[in-house]
Amino acid sequence: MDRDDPLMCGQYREAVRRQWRRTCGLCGLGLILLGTGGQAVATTVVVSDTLLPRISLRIGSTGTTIDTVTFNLSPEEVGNNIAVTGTPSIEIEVIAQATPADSRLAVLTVDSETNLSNGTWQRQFNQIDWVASDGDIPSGTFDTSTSQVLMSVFNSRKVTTTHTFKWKNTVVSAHGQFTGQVTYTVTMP
Amino acid sequence: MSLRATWFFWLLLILPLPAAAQAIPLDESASPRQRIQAQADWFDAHRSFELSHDELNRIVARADAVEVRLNTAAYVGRQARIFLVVPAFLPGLVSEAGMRMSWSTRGHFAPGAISPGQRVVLFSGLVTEPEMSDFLDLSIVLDSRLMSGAVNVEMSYEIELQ
Repeated sequence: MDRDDPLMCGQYREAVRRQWRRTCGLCGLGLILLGTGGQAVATTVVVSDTLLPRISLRIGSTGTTIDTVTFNLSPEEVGNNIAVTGTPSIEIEVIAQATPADSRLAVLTVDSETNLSNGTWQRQFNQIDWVASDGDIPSGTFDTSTSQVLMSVFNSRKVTTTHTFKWKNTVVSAHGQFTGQVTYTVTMP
Repeated sequence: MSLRATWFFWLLLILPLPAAAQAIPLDESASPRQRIQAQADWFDAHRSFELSHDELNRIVARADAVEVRLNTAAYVGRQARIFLVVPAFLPGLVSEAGMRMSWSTRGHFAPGAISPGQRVVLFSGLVTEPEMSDFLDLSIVLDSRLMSGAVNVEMSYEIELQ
């Protein structure tokens, strides 16, 4: 089509108008198609961040068994300042679970206030110390208190350490079998 | 450029892309519950002594029988894929690595698993009904160390025509 040809000019304008109408019609169709997407509504599942805190403690055997550590000394060895290693070594495991949103401090303590006794004579638990397999629950000595702090952890952690106990053997004791019991406690207020 | 070519060029710009190339949001306003509180607990709490450090920090939440009703009226008779979509950013979660959600279904839709920022096929085939529905049993595993608050898992749906 020659737009400069005066004879064709009217036909050209009509063709443009038809093209425009066709285009507008298609545009309208396009808008209708775009509008059929619909309304999306999201479902939200909410998970709370404050679960019930949990703590667990194992000293040696599982269950209700109370393990016994034995130190054997001959009469000649008593009080000679050479430490005697007890058997067996005891594995201690502490588990604390709390979310960061509900941060908690778990504390492991031991009560060694009650003395060892052979029925007649007594010896304090500070005659026993221990060597730890790692630094999680460090090496130390029983301090004869009711609540000696051994370690603390924040939030969700598991701590496992083996303690090997030693009788310091720095005092002369009466002959016989001395027995006693220490109690470990973990708390997470 | 001739006038005809110019018109054609503008036409291409104005017309929408073919529907087959688009992911179209699906209306799920007919679903009965839009905000669901999941039941959360520590992972495998009964054998905590055997768990790894990561497992000790793991939270498992469940939401059973979450009914999903999708408005597919405009696509009946079309081959399509329907996707479940979870955005990359979830309120209460500091990292995408902190959440994984799996689900089982009871009808139309396929089971699967999804992490934040992903979309996973729920259905692929011929759309035969104006509303497609199913019940999803959701299991959400979270790393409590990567939570900054209550986690809001936002689920939406898209359709892609084939």
